[in-house]
Amino acid sequence: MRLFFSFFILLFISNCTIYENNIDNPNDNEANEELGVFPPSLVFFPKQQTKTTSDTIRLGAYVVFSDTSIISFSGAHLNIKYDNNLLELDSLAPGWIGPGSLTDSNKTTPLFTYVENQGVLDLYAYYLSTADISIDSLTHIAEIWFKPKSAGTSVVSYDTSKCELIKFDETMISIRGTREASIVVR
Amino acid sequence: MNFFLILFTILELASAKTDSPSILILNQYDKNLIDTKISSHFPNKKFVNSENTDPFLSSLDSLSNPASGRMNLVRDLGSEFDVDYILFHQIEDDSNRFLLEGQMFNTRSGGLIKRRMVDITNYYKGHMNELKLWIGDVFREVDKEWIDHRKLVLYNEPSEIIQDKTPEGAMARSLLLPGWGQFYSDAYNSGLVFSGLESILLTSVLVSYLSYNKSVKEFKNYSKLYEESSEQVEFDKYRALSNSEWEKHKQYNSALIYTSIASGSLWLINGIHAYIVGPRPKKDIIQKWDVTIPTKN
Repeated sequence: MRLFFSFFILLFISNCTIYENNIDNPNDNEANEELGVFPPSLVFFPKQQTKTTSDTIRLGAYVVFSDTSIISFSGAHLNIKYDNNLLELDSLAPGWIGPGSLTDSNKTTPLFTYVENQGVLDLYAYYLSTADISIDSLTHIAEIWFKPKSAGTSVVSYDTSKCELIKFDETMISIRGTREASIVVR
Repeated sequence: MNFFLILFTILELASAKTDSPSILILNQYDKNLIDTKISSHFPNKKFVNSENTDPFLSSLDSLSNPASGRMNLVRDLGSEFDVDYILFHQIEDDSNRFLLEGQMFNTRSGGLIKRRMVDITNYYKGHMNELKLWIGDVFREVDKEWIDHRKLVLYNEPSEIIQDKTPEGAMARSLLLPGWGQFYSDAYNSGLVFSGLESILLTSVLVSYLSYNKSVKEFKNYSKLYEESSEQVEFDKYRALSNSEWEKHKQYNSALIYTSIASGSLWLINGIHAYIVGPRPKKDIIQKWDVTIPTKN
């Protein structure tokens, strides 16, 4: 009898867990909307990473439009803030319009420049192609590499008052939300 | 004078010693069942046989007063056959069941002075022995051999019977392994039903458990891939897969709970059922039989 009840009680205790379905990806508009971040939004990917002082930190800067967006996005000015006591800018690479990868985005490589000053990084990207004005929901603006200077936690964020998104006719696109990234250096 | 008085007393005593009671025997049974005559086992008794048992075949219990219900009949027969007692025996033999009813009447009063009913099963060749025991008990001439013979086959007291198989044993077995108690109690059909149903439910529990675990593992895996994907095509795919596995793990969890409850309940019911159908002493089994009451005349 004891064995019988123990078996069922153990079975219940060990297997009655319903897991929370709280998956999150800053590049996913659906996940962002669940958090109250509506498109168009500026995000970093990944949202959190932990590295050692000898590692290189890689962070992507993205614009997330809605899945049904028909905005003729053409350029961006991103004002990015980070803790320069912990992180040092190492290098930058331009992104691409729409889904793809760094290697197959040659046709949409933008005019790309940046200014870095005391923990503030200003990125400028402008897409010259008039054929690619209709874009998909996720747009990769830049890939940023940092070098850790010391251990600690740095938040990398956008200053929306200085960030700009423009259409091909140079009219402004209003930014409705941002998500920051957290970098832990050990 | 004294000599005559003593002689008379001796003669009276001698005649009293040899004056054994006369008994009219009325047997209602298949003569093939009992191959010897009762009188051969009681040589010092005066038995008178008669074939006419019809007046005694009606049920004694149906009479308003069983003890005196046949008073006139008994007296008349006593006068007709010039006997002191009437012994009526009725034996019914139905496959392995043996039912003996013995009635003894006093012809002077016409009343029933002794009655015995024996209702037993699997008493191989025990008819004559029971008859001898009954008559021997009436006349206080019971042979030890007859008692020993009965002991070879029967127990004296049902309460003294030590049952090899008990309802508790059946229940314990069924609680250990569903259906075992029923098989142990020779209830094969219910044993098959319980063991079959429990097997199905336990298999369902196991399948639900394994499926639940698989879904949880897949859910975690796809969630990780989703969170690690920066490209839309990939994270769209992994989000769909992750959500699908999450839904599955909820369904399997519910299935696991319900099948476990059903399985546990059936397991308990199976234990209780095993106790109910568990082996009981033979007297209870006999009570289930349809007792044939002799028809009234």
